[in-house]
Amino acid sequence: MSHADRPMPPKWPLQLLRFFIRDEYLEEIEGDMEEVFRDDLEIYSVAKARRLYALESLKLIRPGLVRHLKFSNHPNTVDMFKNYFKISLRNFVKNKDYSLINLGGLVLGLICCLLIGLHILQELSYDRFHPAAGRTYRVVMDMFGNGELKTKSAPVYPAVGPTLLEEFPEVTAYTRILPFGNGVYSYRKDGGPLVRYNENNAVLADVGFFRQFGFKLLKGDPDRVLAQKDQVVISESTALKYFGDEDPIGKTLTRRGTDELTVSGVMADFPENSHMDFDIIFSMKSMDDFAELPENWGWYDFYTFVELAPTASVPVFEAKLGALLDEKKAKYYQENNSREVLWSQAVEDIHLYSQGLSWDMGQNGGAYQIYFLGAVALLILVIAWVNFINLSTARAVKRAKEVGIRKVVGAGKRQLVFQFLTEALLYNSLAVLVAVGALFLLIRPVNRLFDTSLSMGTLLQPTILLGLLGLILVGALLSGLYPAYILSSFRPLNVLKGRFYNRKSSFGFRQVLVVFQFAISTVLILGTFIVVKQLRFMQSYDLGMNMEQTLVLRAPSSNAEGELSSRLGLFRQTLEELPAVQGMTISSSIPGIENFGISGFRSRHFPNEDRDCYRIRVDDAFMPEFEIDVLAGRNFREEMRSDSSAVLLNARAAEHLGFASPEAAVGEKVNPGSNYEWNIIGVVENYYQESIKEDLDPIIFFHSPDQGRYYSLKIQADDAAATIAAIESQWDRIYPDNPFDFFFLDENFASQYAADRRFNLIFIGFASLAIFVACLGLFGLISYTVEQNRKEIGIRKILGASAPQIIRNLAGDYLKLILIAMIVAFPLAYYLMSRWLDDFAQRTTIGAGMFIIGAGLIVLVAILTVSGKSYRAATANPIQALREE
Amino acid sequence: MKKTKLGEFEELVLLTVIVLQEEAYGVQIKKELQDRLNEKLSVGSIQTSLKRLEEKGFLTSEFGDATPKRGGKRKRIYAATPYAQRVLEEIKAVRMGLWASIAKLNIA
Repeated sequence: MSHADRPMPPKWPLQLLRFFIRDEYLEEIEGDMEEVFRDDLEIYSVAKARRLYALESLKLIRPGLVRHLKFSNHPNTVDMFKNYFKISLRNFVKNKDYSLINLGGLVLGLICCLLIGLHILQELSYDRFHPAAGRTYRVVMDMFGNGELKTKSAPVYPAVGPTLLEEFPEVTAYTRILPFGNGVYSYRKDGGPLVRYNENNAVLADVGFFRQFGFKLLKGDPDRVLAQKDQVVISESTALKYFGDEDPIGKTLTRRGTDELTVSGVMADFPENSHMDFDIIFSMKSMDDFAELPENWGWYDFYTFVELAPTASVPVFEAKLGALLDEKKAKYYQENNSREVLWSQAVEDIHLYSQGLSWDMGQNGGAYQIYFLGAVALLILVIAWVNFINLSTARAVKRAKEVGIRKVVGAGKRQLVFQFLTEALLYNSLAVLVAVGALFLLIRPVNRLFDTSLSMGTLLQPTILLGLLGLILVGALLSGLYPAYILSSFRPLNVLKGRFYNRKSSFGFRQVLVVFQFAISTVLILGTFIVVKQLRFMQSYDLGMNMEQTLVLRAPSSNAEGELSSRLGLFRQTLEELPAVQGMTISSSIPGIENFGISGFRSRHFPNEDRDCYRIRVDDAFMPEFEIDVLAGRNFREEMRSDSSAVLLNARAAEHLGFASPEAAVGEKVNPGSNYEWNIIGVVENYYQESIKEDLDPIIFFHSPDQGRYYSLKIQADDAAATIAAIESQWDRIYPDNPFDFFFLDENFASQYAADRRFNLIFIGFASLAIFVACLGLFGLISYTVEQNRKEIGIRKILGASAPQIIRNLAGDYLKLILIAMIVAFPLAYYLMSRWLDDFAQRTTIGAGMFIIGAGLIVLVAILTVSGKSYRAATANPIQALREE
Repeated sequence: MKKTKLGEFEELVLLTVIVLQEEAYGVQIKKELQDRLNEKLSVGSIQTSLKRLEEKGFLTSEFGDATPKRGGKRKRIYAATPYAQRVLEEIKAVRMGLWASIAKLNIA
């Protein structure tokens, strides 16, 4: 048997054995193992013998045979580690105040970081649960007129989906969603009352919806629930609302009084991390009677999602997509001097990166906010680490003797650095543990306060836990390295003689850190001011109309329009008898609600180009009730029959259609010479249809005395509840088939700012935390200064110094630092604030007052922090300090 | 019997060592016991027992010769101490006594 071709046992188990097994047993056991291996070779294959060898080796690692584990080269490393640990704990307990300040700051910083981390993780998780999320794209569209970008539209034409499937080999599926299912839905159980609700999250969708998206279908076959006309899938909670415990499948849900839809499936309520949120989905097939969708290249209300083949190249798809409309609508573009370009966004990106897309679904486009919050959280953590550095170096004086003794006994610099890093690690680990624990308690109140749905479950992923571990290590290194360096560099002889501390040098670095902390705090405070001021500015901005005391009812919906208008007459009459109702207007849109009605119009000045304007149908009372001034011409008048072909323009629309002034537009025509010609009888003041973050829209008002989606009632302020109750009872009498659904216009309008208000709240919270943590650090520092200088203070007092002099002496240094911090912070804050304001269409001014108040606030807080301790030191009896020796 | 406990498996190993005489080293003991018990035993379990028996003073051991099959490593040959012999005798006596009592009862 030659040595070379002799099969050998595997290497790693042998190494394992050599590491673990006691030296005195090793030869015997190695021999036994090899012998067993040779025996096994005669019975089994080489592979199996090796496998058995490995298994046996693992089984050998048992207490009786294993050596006592020591790091054999440095037998006392573990013991030293134990000692560091013990000393750290003793120091922690001995200096409770400072330890707790240190720990408290770290914990607060970490809680911020974790909360924001949870929020960011949740934001990043949007729309990742779809089966082919990585390959699902939404097709959206940029619309150009005269070569400039006019609108970015989230929905596109109904023909886009089918065309892509047919002409692009890389597209394997498409789903279109049409957001036009809203209205009154009702269900009458045999002999029971009519169950009716206004639905605001009802859409139409193509048959592939449940295949392409990961929404769970609880009942029904995903391929068939939307396959036929008038099939409807409802969410679990919607099913409960209409049908209670009955099985909804096969039941008839009536839409707008006439359309009968058959429930074909029940879906789970949509998860929080989906940009779509639907309660009712009915089949796109139901539209078949109304429009030739596959050939329609003009109606852009269809959200279109495509799935690409796994092998598809996205850039190639993008390029082809960009050119598609040029081919399909070439003639139209030429005639109108316009152009539209399709592009796609990954479904996972919709939530965070849809900034600027009009008519989008859900609240999208928060990427920059997330980065911003992340940065703020990190800053707070950094402030907390800085506290740690400051306090540890300040405390160095007390530790100097310990270090000196250690050095004399033989500790090297490296060992001392290691010791203090261990201590930092201990603090950071403890802080993370406490922070995570606190988070469990805080998460519910935080969710309530910010209207979020954060969950601790998000943290329990391996990558996140590793991240936490990383945070501990990085934190320990960042906060421990400098103190470790300072502490370990003391010269033992000087220390033990008592001349241990070179006050100037390390105080320099600490000064820089304090300046840094307070500069950040100042920037955050000023940021809070501007954010709050901007929100207040927006909310009190003159919107060009009056929304006060306006109660809005969602108009009854029924597809039998004639019947509805006779009931409207009755309702109007009834309202006139209620003294608290001072007026009523009917319109297709109201301020504060996104208007989907937009189309192209021409004028004398633009005979060959469609100029996009929003459409709103209103009755005579609309302008007076909302106090929108008529700038030129006149308002609609019902008695004038010619008004059925009349329109009003807002000033923006008059300008948009090329008229030099409001007066110039009156008497002119919209779409002159076409079948859809309208006479302009007046021009009204602009008003903000949506929040003033948006620009003013061009709007054309059409006359429609008795049809509209909203009935807006001006009511008297006193006893609104009774008025509403009175209106409701009349409503139920006249519209028993429609729910009484109302809101106050101003509240609804203000709800557009809900996200801003939440942002404010978060910002204020963080800014205060940052200042608090910074002050915590300041407090720790001043405490040490006082303690160190107790004797000095005592002597000064004996020699005749007054308390204010001593306070000035102690606190003066720190106040100087804070002033420097503000000088650093002001220009930075000014720059950031003006950048932030740039995003708003209407912005408030920054103003010097803000800086003065901000500075005053910081100085006040700092003085309060510093003076408490100094005052006590300054007023203490000097004997206490001096008699110790 | 009071002072030292001898586990069941340890007793079997001890007996096997006595049976094997000069051949009483790890692998051989393992094989012998495997045959007699008709079950697979791991090197680890045999070795732990041997070490414990030695610690308790039931066994002594010394290095034997090395073989190529063992990769040049020496065997360790185990031998029972007189103390072990005595303890085994005692256990046997106790057991026999017990068995005898059972037999008497059965007859009665």
